[in-house]
Amino acid sequence: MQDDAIVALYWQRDESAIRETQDKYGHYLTKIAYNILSDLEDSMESVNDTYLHAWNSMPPHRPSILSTYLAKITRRVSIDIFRRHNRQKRQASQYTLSLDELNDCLSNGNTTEQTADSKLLAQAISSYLRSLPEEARTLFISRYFFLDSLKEAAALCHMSESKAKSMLHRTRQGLQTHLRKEGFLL
Amino acid sequence: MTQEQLQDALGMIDDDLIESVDKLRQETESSTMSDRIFHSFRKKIIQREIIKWGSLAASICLLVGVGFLWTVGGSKTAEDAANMDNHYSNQEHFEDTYIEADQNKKPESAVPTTTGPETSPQETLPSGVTIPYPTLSVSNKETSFDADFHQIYWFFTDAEGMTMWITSESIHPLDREDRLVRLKTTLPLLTLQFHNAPGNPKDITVRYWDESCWNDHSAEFQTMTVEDGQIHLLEGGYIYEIVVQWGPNQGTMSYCFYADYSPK
Repeated sequence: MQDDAIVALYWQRDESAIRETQDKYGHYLTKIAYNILSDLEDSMESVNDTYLHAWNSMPPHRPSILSTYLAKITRRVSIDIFRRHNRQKRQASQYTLSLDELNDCLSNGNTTEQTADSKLLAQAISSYLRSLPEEARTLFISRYFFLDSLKEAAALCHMSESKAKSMLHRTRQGLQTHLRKEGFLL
Repeated sequence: MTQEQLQDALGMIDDDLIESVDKLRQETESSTMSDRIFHSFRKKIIQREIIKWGSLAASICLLVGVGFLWTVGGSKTAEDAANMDNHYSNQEHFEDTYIEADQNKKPESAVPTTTGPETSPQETLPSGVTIPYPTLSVSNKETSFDADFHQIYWFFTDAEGMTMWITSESIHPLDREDRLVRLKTTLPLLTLQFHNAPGNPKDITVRYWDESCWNDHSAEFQTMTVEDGQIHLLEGGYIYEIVVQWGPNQGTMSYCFYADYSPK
């Protein structure tokens, strides 16, 4: 079923919308959730919550790209579940690994902590990503939005893991400079 | 700014940026998807099944043992011994089953066959869950048989309507010299037919190795095409692997068999 038709089902409050979403995007969303949670049952819970969020948010939302819309919900829900489950104990997952890597983009601890508006920050990151060559952009989004493992991200860009690692390092350094220039880091 | 704020912001980047990568990922998903998900899932199912069937078997053994002691008093009769002999005799008969073009004649070179994966995924599933993953039937005018499974990577819906997946990988076809399903034929064409398949496959690749490659992991495979659902056998003995993709939302299967074609 086409995405438009699935969105129309949500708008008609037809419950088959969830079944169609599950059929088309079930394993796609589970993969994203699993990258963050490293646990199949938690991932299933996250994906089910995604369907619920989608049901509650359409209407009023009418996403133009349903897969991206759902991926964002799954990512957010999974991160929330992860934070809830791991307040005391941090377990290894692509999410924690990517968090550690992203330290490069943050201040070194000597600067004033600044509360950033997430939307403005997202816009700044988007504009930085647009300035990158396609390969670097794809690698970065694969690693830090989809939370793919380094191996998977490298395979997606048809490059070795070591090359991907150094390219990601340079991209993170570039992002740090960009965020500093935009005033998000002092 | 904290790590978590940065991660949250990354989750809100522009849709078109995500979509372009998303498309790439979906194209390569079937080949790059991490195996650990599937191994984790399979491990859990197997553990669950072992506990379930183990406790059931223990209970039955206990009941049978108590019943046996109660009624017979522990003595073994001549009739019991005879039944035991019949049992072993039946097992030998089962192990001597072959698949050949000539079903009634056991050829000199024939080797006992298996007709399924080393571990059938159906056996490891919770009760009530059935997976209609496709099977491959291979036939010509002389014979018909089901090819062995090699890899199974299949999505299905469970009894509660949840999308689940299963994966199974048997030992490599080249390591199955004594166990791979075997065909000896005088006809060059084999017809491939999929059962329980959700429509036509999106892609079929036929890999093959010369029989001199048995147990040689470094051997490179060659490929051939499928035309009108048929493959053209090469003269001599070859190991064939049929890799079939039904799309990223359905799965990929691979089947294997050995065929020795010698024209009349």
